[in-house]
Amino acid sequence: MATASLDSGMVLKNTRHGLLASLREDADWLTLISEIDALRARGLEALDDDAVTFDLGWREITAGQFDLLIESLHRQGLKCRGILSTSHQTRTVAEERGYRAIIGRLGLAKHQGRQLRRAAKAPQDVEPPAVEAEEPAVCPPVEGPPETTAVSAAASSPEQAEEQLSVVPSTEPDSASQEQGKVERSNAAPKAESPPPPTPGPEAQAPVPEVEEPAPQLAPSFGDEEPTLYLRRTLRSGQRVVFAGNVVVLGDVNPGAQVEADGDVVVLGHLRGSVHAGCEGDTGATVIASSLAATQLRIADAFYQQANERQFFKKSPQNGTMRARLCDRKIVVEPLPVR
Amino acid sequence: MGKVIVVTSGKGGVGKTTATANIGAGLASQGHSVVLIDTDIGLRNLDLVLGLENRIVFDLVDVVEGKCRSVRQALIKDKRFDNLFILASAQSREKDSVKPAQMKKLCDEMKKSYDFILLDCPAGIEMGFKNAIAGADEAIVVTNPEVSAVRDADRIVGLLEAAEISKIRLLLNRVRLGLIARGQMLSVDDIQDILSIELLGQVPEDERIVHSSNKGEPAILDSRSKAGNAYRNVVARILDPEVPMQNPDTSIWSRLRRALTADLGAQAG
Repeated sequence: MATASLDSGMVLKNTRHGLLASLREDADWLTLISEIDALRARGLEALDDDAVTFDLGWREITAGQFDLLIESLHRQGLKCRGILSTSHQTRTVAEERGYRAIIGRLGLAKHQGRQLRRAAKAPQDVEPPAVEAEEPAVCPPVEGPPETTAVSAAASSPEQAEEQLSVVPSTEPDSASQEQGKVERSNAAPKAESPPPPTPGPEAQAPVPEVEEPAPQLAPSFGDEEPTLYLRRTLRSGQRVVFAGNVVVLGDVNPGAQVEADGDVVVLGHLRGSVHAGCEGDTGATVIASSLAATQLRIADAFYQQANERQFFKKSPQNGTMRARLCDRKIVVEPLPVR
Repeated sequence: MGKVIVVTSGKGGVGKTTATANIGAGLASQGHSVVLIDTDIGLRNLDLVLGLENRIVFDLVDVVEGKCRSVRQALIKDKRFDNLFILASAQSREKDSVKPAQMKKLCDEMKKSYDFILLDCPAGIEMGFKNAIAGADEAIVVTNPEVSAVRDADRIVGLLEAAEISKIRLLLNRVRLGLIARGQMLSVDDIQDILSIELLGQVPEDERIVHSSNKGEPAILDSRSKAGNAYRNVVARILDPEVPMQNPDTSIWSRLRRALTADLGAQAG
């Protein structure tokens, strides 16, 4: 259950792992702090283990801002279990103070995707790129437990299927070391998912496990990197990938498999399953596939209507790599332009 | 040390039980000791297909619960082969009477004394399936060249890969060549496009299978059964992967045509 009106900058969600507070990326920080001050006062029954996870999205906060947050929590006898953030700066700030930081976002700020993010980061004199004239209907905020979109944007290595479904505040360092995309697998059925114990305190927080980050220290940062999940496998029927960013699949997506991404979806293989790009409402999201034959293709809130219902065993489309994108609220499929 | 192979499919009615019975009988006829275990609790039919239902005293659930002294007490020797045994399932119990850990323990124990343990998996992906794959080393996925069967098989392969079963092979059952030739049925290539697992063999649709089930005699013993012949090839390939796969098109004209074109190809090349 989520509480708080959309006017406020904070949305609370009661999850299997405790309380999750999502903070609007474009809300004023001090206003948010005052809302956090009132957390205990709200008498929420979720606070039985005194720890709250914060989803900061792509907001970049300074050390001082983070300290304000922690002080506010301490005043109420609460602890921070960890944070979700797609910003490297924010994550570094949190980790320096011994808090777990996981790459990902749940996205409360009305999502205009990369445009808004670039505008927030761009120097003041640069005109932010033109925003879509009409606001697309925002995809409803993530239903169900937040672990479906909270993920780490690891680079390559194929993840192990039996990895825990909950990436968010799991505190077991060994199981966390394989966090890759949030690949929700019903395949994980053979292995039982053990509920993670609540953290004793910030001192006991494990450092972020060996997740390969896009190495911003090594190369000069362009400022527009995006979290991307890279899967080097074929997705079989019944397997579902949900990620708060882009998804690249080096392999097929078989019919019955689902890919849901906030950003783009790129499939280097046969895309025959169902795909939803721009889950959170990003109308600039695209779907690219070497062989685009999806059973269901959605971008933001638009569906792709095929000219004629395909037969299951018609030969795969022979027209090469195709790209699907939203044009005037309709999905247009065209060959990928080679520039 | 024996091998534990689970015969599964996802979809029901594709021929798992028939395949288990025939492959088991085939392996036994080649001199190996084989145990067939029916893990479909509540809906047992492996013993029926082999004609042994009157001899069942103890079943799988009895073994797992310790009601009989040893597994050997519950195994029924086949009428025709000395080295083929069956452990039947319980007809009046439910699927949660057995846990995966218990199945694994049973399979590990039996591996020591028999060459092949074949597990006839129930349809579905719930507890019955989980029980059946718990102790398995290899898997044979049975499917029909039909869209829903292939979709379910894909799901099953995903689950098997997640359970880290290393060797997964495909058995294509109830193949109807006429329909494939007319483009109305999925071909092997179409299916492999989706499933991409090693093909063990193709078994044609055969009316004599019904006859065999009714009689309680596996089709592999019926020399007039096309499916039986195909199963013989499958068994040969299980024992020796180098054995070439039998082409399901066994009519005299197509064999002649193949022989002639093969020669021409050799001359041209």
